[in-house]
Amino acid sequence: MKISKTKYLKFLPLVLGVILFALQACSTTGVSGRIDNQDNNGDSALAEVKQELGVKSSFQIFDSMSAIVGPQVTLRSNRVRDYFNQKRASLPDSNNITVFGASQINAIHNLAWEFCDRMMDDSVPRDEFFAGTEFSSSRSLNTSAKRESMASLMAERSCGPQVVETDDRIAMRESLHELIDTLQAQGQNDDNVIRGICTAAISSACVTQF
Amino acid sequence: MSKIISARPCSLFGLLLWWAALSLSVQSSPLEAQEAEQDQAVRLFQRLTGQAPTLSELQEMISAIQRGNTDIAALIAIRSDNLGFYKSTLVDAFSRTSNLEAVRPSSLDEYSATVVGLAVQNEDFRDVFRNVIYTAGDEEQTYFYRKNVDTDGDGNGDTLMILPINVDGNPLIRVVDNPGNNDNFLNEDGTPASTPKVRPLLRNRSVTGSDIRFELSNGAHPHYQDLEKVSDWPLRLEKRSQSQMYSYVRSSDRIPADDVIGLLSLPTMGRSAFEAGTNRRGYKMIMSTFMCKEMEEIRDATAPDFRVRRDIVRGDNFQTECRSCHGNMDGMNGAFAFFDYRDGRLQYDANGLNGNPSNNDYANGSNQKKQWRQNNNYLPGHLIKNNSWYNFMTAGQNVTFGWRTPSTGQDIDQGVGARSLGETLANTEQFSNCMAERAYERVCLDSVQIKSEDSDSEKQRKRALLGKLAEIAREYEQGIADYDDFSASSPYNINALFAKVAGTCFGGNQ
Repeated sequence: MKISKTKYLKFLPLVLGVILFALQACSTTGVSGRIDNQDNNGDSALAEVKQELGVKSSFQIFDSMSAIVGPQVTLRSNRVRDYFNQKRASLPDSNNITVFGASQINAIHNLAWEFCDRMMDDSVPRDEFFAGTEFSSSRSLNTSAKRESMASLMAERSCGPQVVETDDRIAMRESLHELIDTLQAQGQNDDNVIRGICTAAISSACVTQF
Repeated sequence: MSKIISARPCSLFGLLLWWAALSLSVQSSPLEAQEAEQDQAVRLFQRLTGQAPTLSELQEMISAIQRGNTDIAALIAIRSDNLGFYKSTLVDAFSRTSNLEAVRPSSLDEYSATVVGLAVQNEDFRDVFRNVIYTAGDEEQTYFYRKNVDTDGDGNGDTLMILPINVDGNPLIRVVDNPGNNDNFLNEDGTPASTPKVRPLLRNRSVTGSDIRFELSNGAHPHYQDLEKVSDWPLRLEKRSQSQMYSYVRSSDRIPADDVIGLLSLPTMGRSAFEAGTNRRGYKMIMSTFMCKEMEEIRDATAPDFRVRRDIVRGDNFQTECRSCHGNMDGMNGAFAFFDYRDGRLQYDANGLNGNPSNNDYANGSNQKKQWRQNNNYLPGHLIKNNSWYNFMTAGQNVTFGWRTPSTGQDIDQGVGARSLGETLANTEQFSNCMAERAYERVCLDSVQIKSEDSDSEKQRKRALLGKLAEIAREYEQGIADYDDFSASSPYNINALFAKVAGTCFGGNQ
């Protein structure tokens, strides 16, 4: 069976997205604490406070992705919002990560693809996204340094800056870099490669989990 | 530990094992500590805003966490320029409480906009029970709305000018065509417009101005749908009075200030509470949305039953079953006597319950007299004729609501009109406790609802936690002076409540 280039373009970022998702999900755990508290009888009791790991709801995911790619993407076209409204039921409805399933990861990935594809289709949000970077005009990925730079940019735009660089972030950058290499080896042009790594980055756990 | 140190190691291997275990348990490099604080700050920021922080925000938050002020770190996130706390988190948290289905509406509506407006402008959050609505400012409401309809019957479409009006009843005359076009929110270079164009909340439906509507389109508000497209929409909100707005709607729909009860008398929640039925859902929605109490939790068979209506059959189980809910419920929801939701909008008729019941009155169930339905079930029962209400929850098990006399002097046991009921409810401890619980569940993603299937230790944990949240709620009612730098020190400031609650589960300030 022959798999088309376009299928690769969507499939590979999905695989990477899942890897990034697992990588970051496993590195963070719920945090608990205890608060000394007095009950009505004046007796001391312990209120164990939990701070569970959660997954964002459908609207929160939409808002987060929209903030990353910029408001122009949804303002200048209804395409992504229409897609979201059609597929909302397949995205997480609550923040409860214990009912978060594989099909929802796939739906998140597809929504990310819509955002990235739309951003790359329209010069206004695209130029705004890359403003101030060396990719602002050419978006060329013809050297290893540029590929590394693109991977760093996507990681930072998606997950935010860091004061102390963590192993997770280094691993994410390396994975995105590898994805660029893989997609280029498939013969994808640079814009399509960017679509792919954008999809992987904005569907990763640092965007969709909290 | 002292016991271990005093014990004599029985072998070298044991000593090594003990040393290794001790080292692993206490050693943590400064870098690891920094990473942990950074991770905590990022998670807190994401939880509160749904977005990643900027570098300066991250640094400020880490610094606050290092000082043990996690609540201050939370306030930095809440006040972020990205407005994510207001646009995403608050809307997601509260919009689900506006309807019986507990689903988030597909677009912004007046319910969520009002919650956000109160938060972003640091208003007293008890205003959710008061005569308040938030809309876009007049500057943003600048349409002539054109409609192509046949007004003179000649078979040809005529351009019908539909004037938007502001809440003072004056037409707004700035012209922008093509309502709903996304270009109205952007400049030519694609940047967000400084004065985006939003379809008005109120408009004349005809050139004669005889029918002014708080418009709904397929259950949604074009006004708020447009407003949501403005990137800084929480900052564009303007506070208005519901009664002022409604005074320009058809005369039969006017809601006087004495009968406005905040979010419940707005269309979104009003539809869930007052469409068809017998208006008892108004009570249920208040209890679940603002008091975090479901009907089963507030049953009280000792409540007086003289206000229980005629439609409730006084069977064998009335005293033990029916009365336990209807005693309190029918006492209180007399306040909603003049409300109805029909033909796609919230309606109000102060004369709708005049006269005496006839068979036809309650047959169709689609006007105020729907509250007289099944009038013959028990004729000695109460017949609603006015909007007086009784609060029987100040005695019995529901005294735990913490009823307090409002500063207006309103009697907490009885009153007339929905406004006075709202003021009574707004001043309960339970309302503040409920908001603290909602903040905790949203920020900490942990439920405090005690369930029958919970283990004893889990029930004990939740009870202790509810006690802690109640303490925080009392602080929130008084105002927290430490938050002055963030303009969040005023009493009943919902930003302060979220920050304080976030401080409990994200550690630091216990």
